[in-house]
Amino acid sequence: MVAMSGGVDSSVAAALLVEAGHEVVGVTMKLHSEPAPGGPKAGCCTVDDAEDARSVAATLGIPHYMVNLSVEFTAAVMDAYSAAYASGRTPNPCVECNRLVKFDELLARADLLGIDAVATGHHARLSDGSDASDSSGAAGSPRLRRGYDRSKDQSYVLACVNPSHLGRLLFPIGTLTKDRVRRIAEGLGLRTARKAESMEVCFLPGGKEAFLSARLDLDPGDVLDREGTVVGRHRGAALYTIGQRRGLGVAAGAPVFVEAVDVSSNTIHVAPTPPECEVLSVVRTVWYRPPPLDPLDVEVQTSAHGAPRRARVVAAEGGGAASVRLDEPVPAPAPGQLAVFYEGDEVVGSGEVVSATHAETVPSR
Amino acid sequence: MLYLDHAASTPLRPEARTAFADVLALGPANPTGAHARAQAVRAALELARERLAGCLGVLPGRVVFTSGGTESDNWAVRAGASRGVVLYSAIEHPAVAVPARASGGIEIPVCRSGVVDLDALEAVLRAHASDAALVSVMAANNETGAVQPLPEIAALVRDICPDCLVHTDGVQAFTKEPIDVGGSGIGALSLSGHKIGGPVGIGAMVLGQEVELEPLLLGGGQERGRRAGTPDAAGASALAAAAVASTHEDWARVGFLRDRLEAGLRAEIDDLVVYGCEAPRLVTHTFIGIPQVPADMAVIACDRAGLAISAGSSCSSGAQGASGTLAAMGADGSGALRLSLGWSTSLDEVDRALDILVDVVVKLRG
Repeated sequence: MVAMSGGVDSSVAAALLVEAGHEVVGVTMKLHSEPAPGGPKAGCCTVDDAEDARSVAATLGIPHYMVNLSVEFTAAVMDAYSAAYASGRTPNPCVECNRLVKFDELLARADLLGIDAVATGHHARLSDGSDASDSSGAAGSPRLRRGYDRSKDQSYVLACVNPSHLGRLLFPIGTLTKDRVRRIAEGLGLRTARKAESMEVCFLPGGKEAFLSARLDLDPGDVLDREGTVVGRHRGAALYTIGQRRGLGVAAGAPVFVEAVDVSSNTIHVAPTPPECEVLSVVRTVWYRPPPLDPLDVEVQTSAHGAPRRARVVAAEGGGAASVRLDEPVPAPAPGQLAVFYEGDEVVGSGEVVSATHAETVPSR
Repeated sequence: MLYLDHAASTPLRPEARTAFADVLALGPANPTGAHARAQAVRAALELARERLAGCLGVLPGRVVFTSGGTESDNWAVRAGASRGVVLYSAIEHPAVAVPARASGGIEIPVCRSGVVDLDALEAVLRAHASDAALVSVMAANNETGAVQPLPEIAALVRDICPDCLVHTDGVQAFTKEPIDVGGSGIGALSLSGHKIGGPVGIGAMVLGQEVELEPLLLGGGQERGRRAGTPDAAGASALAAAAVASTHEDWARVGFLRDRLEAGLRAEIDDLVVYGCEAPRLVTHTFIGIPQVPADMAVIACDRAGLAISAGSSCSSGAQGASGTLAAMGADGSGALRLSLGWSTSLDEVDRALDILVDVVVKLRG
């Protein structure tokens, strides 16, 4: 079963599996509701993308079905998205979809239909767990690794997938560059060959603020500097993210950055420099090896295409949480973001950031 | 491929194919032209009008060809809304329900059997005796096949607000159930070609005596000023040929096959639910619920096994959504499958379909 979004990557993923001789079924997930009939056509991508997926499946000579996951997606991703912002966090909806909806639901359906494996068009690789390059993991379970095309690598958003699922997943284009993917699509005459990449969150055609404004009670409030002086007005504290620089409604000569979001008092705090941290506390940890008993030296990445930073991870006893000590101060990720731990190009584990602080030994500035 | 999705579209009848090709063979011509070729096409169009009118016992001038059921439904609802309040049942096809809702129309609930609640209709009619302009209730539901009490509905309307028009969406019922346009008080009937063995893209509106509707499409004044646009003479001829053939179909034979399929399913699946089976139903439809079997997965598993069926109603992306009909009936419809038979369904096809369905249910239940 290939999850076909209607984009070029999943189109080629399906094509490669067909070429390899597999019996392939294409599915497109319907994840959220269309705009109300008769209403404005607010950038509804779903129908067009489903048509593209259907067309590619027809070109490849494979059956294609729609799978309606809108109930699951609405609860686990969209409702959680607005709830997270309402509590002052910055969620990553693609991560939550991968963690809670997409792979669980597709594998369950594959089971029902007697299908062995689920493939997607993610730029990531799975390598055999018996890989000799590393000896610390349990043999047999595949390792999740960065995609070959480092500029398109999507291992970050996959680093929350249930580890027990990896053995039944396939990422057929993870070993290819994006250019190569497009050339294959053109060679096969697939309609999606030159399709632009989707950069936005699929359920936010009107943008984050429009979505949150419709779901949350947002009131304007004060923007405060470090001295507690009111330096501007914001449109609702829940809309803002740690480290944000633009759109703050502050008419200061020099740039300012969001240092803290306080939804209980509906204020945001700004500072002349972006907030930094050396220690991350994370929860909801996922480990692709047995949870480390000793401190583990890794590289940590806190956004989909952020720079990996050297750090040491200490897993809390009992599991579920961990503390990450960075070698050097880094821009502070907002609570709610995923911190992914890498060893080389292999994903070791991840956790959701709950706090990003300075180490006790560092004098507060 | 075994095909039990006739309610979505039934195969083109040979009579319709021949009629379509015969008109195309007349050559290029717009039936509104003055020359001989145009006159030949015009003659075909008018013959089609006469044949379709004959199937319904109305005068040819009462038949207006449209692009299909959706256009006809939209036309009736919008014309009604321009005059006053539209009342529509909770199980209408979206082609009625969406424009009716948009116009601020009033939804009439249905009973658990899937038949419109006449007491509720009466109450709403009395409350809107002065401003109700259109009552739209389908002749038979597209999912359950439940036949709606049109004579009783028309009688209520005649008693309470005689100026109000009764429209019925006859897309599913036409040729399978008698629909009395005019005499019983039905003022407008929507029809579709491809549900009766004609092509997609042709439909009709049949109007009662002295009923006129504000046109939906404005332009060249075709169809006696009721529907602008070059008439599709080939499609109309095929629609009429299909209507004649379908009217003479042995529907009792199809009903026997439907009952055999239902009996076979009941014998194999203890907890099978047949929605709407307490109501009079079209002989072609069965709408079933199977606990613990997700309908969308059953459709895929059946397709992979070579059987075409559908689940609930489809949305525009093709995903299977929840059934609006079941929700209106107050039933939990997470597992509803629609199996619909048609003129080409055979005994062997039904028996093989039954084997596949039972096999799929066993597999999906693990």
